[in-house]
Amino acid sequence: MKKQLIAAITAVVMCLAAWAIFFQVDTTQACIVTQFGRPIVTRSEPGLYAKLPWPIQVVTRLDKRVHVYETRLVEYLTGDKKNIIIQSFVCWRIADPLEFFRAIRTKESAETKLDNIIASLIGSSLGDLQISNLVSTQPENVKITQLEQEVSQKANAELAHGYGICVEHFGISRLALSEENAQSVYRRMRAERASIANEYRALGKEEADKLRAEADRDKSEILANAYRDAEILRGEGDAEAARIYGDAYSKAPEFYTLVRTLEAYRKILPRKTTLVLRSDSALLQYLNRSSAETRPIIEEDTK
Amino acid sequence: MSKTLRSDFKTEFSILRRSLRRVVVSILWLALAGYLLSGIYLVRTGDTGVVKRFGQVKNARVTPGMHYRLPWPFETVVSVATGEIRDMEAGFGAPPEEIARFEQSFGNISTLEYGTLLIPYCITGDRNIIHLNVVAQYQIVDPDTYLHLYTDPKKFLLRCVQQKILESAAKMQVDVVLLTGKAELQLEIAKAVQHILSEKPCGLRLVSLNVKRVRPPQQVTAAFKDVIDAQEERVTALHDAEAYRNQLLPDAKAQASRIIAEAEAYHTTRVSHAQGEAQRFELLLDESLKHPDLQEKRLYLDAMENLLSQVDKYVLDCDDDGEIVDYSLFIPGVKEAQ
Repeated sequence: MKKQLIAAITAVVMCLAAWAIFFQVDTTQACIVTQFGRPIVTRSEPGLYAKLPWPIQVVTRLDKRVHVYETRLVEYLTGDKKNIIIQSFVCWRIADPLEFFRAIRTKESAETKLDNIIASLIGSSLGDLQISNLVSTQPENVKITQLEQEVSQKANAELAHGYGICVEHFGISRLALSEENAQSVYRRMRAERASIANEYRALGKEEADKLRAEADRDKSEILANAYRDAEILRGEGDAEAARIYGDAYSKAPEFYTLVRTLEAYRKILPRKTTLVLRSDSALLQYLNRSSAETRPIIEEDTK
Repeated sequence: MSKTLRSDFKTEFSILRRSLRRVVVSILWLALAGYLLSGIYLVRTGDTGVVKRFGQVKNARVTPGMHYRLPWPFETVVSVATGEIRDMEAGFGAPPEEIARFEQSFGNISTLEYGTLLIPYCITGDRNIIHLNVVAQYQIVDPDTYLHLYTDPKKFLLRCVQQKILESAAKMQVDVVLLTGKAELQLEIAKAVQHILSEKPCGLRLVSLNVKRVRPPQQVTAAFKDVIDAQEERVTALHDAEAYRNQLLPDAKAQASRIIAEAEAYHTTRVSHAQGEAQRFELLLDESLKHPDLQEKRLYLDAMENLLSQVDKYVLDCDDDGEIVDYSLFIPGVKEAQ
């Protein structure tokens, strides 16, 4: 009975001792063992480690994963004196746990420091660039990637000593214009759109007019062609007729003259004509054969 | 008294003590068994389990099913949904409904101070401001990295997408982004993001990236709409002109065929008349040739008869001495006046 009690107590004490002595380091963590506040050893690899129990040695756990920190919106000035507001993000991690533990200690103070460093680096790098190196229709002019790399390298150089952190990735996550500039961009956009709209309208009118003019031209062409063809047809008709007449009349030209002249008389002497005939004309030769001396005037008014 | 009691119930006490001990022992055994059994865990279909022993990754690819691990505090297990493809909205701009809700409580954005900064936008290569939202689909491909490399891998992916949208838009023209270049743009962004993820793995894979919404800012929407109207007007003007032509040309063709038909009629008439007249002349000629003089005279007399029966005529018996005749006498009206 007593033995069992002792065994139970021993087991509990051993568990407590194990809990006080051993500690686990997760794969995401780096641990610093301090003895009365002085760092003794750094455990960066995951596993099970031992230490002297509290209050002699204390374990401080640091998160060694990569943190993603987004900076504030900060207004900068480019090399050509244009205002631009930039928000960026920094992926940083603890590179040297001990140094970090000594110099910075918390994530918040690390990010405050990063914020300042990044802001001043962006400011100085932007001084060498123009606004057209940030936004441009010529892709080779856009140097955002270079800017990001430059800032990231310089930040790492600055952070290499005394901070214990390093920048894994740096990127610009937002570009904006100041209120005033934005308003002027809006004005310009409106003006541009208005001119594009006008262009479309003018183009539409021009194209439509052209189409109408073409239609009118086509119409005249069709009619002119028709007139030409018609005249040719008429001419052919006339020529054919002339040929037929010619063929026929050339057989007896004198007879034709007679027939045609007689026919023509009928037309060239209309009804109201007054004819004065000599009594000795061929037509009237029989009229005065008996009284050639008396010469009477024969008057006939059929009117 | 107690001594007597104890001696009296000695056997009972010993039985009680023994059964109590048995209960305790069995409870302990049960506890031990329960503790050992707590190492059984389940990985659901579509998930992957990650087992860590003393904080160190032992197996990052536990397949779905029932498995065993050492109980806490020796080993721990976390399940990650690797089969699931998730959506993430990124980009610059807010959905119109949200803006409307915001404006209901705070007033028109365009008149607010710093209103232009309230809704994120990106700047295109030709320095226009537009809102551009994308939907990225991603999947966890490496559970170990996903769990242990970044504090927030999704946030990292989101920021990378933002970064690449911004960079791509900074090189393009506003019209290309708004109209023609959507496919090109989303491909470019997706490629750039995939490039980052291959260099800086965070355990996530970008499955696809699609542009969800591209629109000009509210402040200039009307101007953009006017351009669309102008395009419509252009099309309408063209259609009108085409309609004009489609009406004009058939009319002209009809008129042309009428002209041709008239000319054909003239042609036929002329030729037929000529043929008829020629035939008539030839027939007459044939007859005339039989008695040439007689026929000529007959024709002459026929014609004279016909002619003189219809006109006014005077027969003048004239001398051969060439006396001048006063022809005014024959003109009706002149005689009466004298």
